[in-house]
Amino acid sequence: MRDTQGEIRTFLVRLTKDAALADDLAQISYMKAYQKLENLREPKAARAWIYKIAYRSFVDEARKTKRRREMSQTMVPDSMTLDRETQPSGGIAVDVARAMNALPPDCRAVVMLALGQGFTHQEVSEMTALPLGTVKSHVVRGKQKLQAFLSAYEQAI
Amino acid sequence: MMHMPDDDKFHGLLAGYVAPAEEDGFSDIMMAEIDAQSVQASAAKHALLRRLALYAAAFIGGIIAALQLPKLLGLFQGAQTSLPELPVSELSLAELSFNPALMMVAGMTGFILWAALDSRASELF
Repeated sequence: MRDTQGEIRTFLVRLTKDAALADDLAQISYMKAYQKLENLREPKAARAWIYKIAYRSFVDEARKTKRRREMSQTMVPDSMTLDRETQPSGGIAVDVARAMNALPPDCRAVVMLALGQGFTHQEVSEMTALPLGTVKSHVVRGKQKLQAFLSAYEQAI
Repeated sequence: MMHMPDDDKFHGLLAGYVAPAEEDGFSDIMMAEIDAQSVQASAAKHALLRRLALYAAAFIGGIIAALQLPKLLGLFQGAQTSLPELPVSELSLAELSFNPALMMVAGMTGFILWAALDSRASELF
């Protein structure tokens, strides 16, 4: 848990845009993981497994509170929603955060898992329960978005 | 693995965005919560086992008692039929109480009633 808690909390902060809610979901995720520990067949897959539980916890929470649509469509300034520890320090980091926040949560999760954490598309598909084709299209969409922001940033400097 | 040539570039770009949050005691809080929950789960499991043992004992005791009922009824019938022949003063209740079958039924009935009605019984099992 000590190895993964930081990245899981960041993952959930990026999805929820709410540090307190993200910590609550992280706690729920680790409690679920503890309760279902016997289901973990391969210890090597623990990291992917905890990401899967965390993502499901986020989806359950979003569904339960009917905030998923709001989360995906509302652009909230980062300074109002992100912790100091997770807030980009400036420059390109801000642009990356803006680009990512412009993506819907499921697309953002896919991009973080596939491009940020290096999971395969198949692994991401299993984690998020999204079809492989959807995962691939989310990755392409995320790349396009990041590329656009990156180009704008490069032109600006 | 669907690794594209530009994946490394995006991986680097997102490195800060997905950087792990600092450990601020989250793990310790979680471990304490997990410990507390496992203690609660263990206590709940023991309570369930105690309850099951109690119900099983009561059920088995009930069956044994039910099996002894015909003998008990026969004993009472025998006592009733013999009543007219015996003087009241000679009817020995002590004799009845020393009957092993009757003692067993009485004991089991008492135990079942105690186990069912006394909440302290669950603490003993």
